[in-house]
Amino acid sequence: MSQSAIEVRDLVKHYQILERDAGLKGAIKALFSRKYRTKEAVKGIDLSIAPGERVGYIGFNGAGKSTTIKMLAGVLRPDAGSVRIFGIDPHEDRIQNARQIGAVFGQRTQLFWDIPVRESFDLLREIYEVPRAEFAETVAWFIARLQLEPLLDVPVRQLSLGQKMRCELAAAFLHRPRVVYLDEPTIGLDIDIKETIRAFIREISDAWGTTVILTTHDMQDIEEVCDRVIVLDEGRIIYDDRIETLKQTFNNERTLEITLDEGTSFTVPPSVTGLVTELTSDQETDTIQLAFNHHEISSGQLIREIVNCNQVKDLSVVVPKMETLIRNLYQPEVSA
Amino acid sequence: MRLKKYVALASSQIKVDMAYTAWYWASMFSVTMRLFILYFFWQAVYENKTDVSGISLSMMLTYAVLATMLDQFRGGAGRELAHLIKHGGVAVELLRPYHLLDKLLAQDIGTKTSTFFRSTLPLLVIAMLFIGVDPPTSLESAFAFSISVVLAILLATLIDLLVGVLSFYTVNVWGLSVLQEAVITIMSGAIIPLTLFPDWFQTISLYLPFASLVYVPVAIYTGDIQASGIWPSILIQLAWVGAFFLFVRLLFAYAVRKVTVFGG
Repeated sequence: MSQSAIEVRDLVKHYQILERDAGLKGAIKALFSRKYRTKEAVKGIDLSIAPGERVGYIGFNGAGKSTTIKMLAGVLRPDAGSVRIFGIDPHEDRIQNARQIGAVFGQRTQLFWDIPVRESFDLLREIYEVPRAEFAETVAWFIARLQLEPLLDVPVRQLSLGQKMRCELAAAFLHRPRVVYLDEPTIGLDIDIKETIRAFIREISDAWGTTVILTTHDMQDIEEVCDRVIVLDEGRIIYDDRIETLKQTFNNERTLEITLDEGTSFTVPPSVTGLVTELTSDQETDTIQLAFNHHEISSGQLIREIVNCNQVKDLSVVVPKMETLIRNLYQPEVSA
Repeated sequence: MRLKKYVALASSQIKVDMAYTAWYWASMFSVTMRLFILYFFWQAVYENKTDVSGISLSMMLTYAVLATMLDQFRGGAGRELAHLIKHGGVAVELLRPYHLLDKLLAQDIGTKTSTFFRSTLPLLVIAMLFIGVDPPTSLESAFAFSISVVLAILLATLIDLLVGVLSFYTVNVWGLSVLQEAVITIMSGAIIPLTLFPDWFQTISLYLPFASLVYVPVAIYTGDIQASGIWPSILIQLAWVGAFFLFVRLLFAYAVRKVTVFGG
């Protein structure tokens, strides 16, 4: 059996949070007696990720995504459980592990604030001890793919968000790491740069077999980059499967939006009772939303039945987006 | 080639420091002012005297100038570390294949090298021309002085780093670093030679590391520490450097085990 890139067993992390009463009185009280509350950020996670896999790691704010990523990267020490990145314990052998990983941590820059991008890259070459020829080849490729040419002589602190993120991404991949953690790499970026970044991640990962762990709130990122989705909620994994499986599970869900002629009311045709669920109905604008399963009744037949007994002005069929699919995971009773 | 990356970090830091010219001129100005204040102060003190506790005016001015110069080399790395911890940048640093303390030390050496050439040397020329600095008392003391200075600067950086590492525990080390600043300024002899303090104070400072920071190297230069005392003093400096080096490493290794990264 081939070695997995990331192997996680029973991973647990708690934080000690200082409890303090509000106001000056609370602040003074906290000087003498400190009460700590334990927050369990990650409550027992198991993961096995193969080399070259691209995994979307998603969940609401505070679900424990960043905490997990930091443990995988070796920055945080797990309270229990084990992590192995290609067989290396990332916290105990942090420096050894650092050579095989790369990362983009949201807003936090890993470039060198005061020096131009080109020199930042050169410094990273020294730090990661990358051979000159290999490095030159990599940089040339990245410059072309991420359109970095005009940015190379600009000090990092003068770059715009989109420019900086492209450079960050290049920096994370420069030493050809085996595993890359991307914590919200597209946050706050415009659609063009998002596209560039997604294409870049795909291309590099395909070329080098880089394992990618991506956290994001943008489902488009997941759809275009990842081949597997892991959903985290309150420190536990609630979903872990191929992205196609996720799509297929909810593939038959459709929503029909109907706008009626003014003053008419909506009647559910008797032939479709039990096959549709009325989601919303707005008397003011005369619009109704119906949820139905494409598998049980085809869109065409449903529309025909509805048009037959209602004064329909307009209608459209909505295929659910990734976002809806994910939301359904949190509230399984709604999607049933 | 382990060392190479640290050399690269140091030389990159030199380039960064070169870029901040306004800051450079401001600090040149303030140190020049400080030198002249010292000059007029000691002129006034010596107005009707030829010596203070056996120290002549020119010896005192030499001491004051060198102590002021050496004082410029205090700290830096620890503040950087505290900043990294407080603002969460330490997370990125821990992802890199280097020891963070070594990286900070390398950058510190870079900064201090550029300070030496850009600021200390020109200021020394100004001081020699306008204030008067005695030459070292002997060839041996000049040689011992240069070794002692390097050890003093290294020790200052390590003490600073120690305070920086403590911010893993207290988050805000501002109070601590103000305290450190005050204690070092007085107990290192950066303002006046330790020999002018009462005996009990001198005895205490013998057992503390602070005298090694300024007083020891400068006193070696001025001949205040005589031939037989030179090498034992340097040995004590070396011992402090070794002790602080190990202590900072241990504390850092322990702190990293329980690191909490702020801001998610």
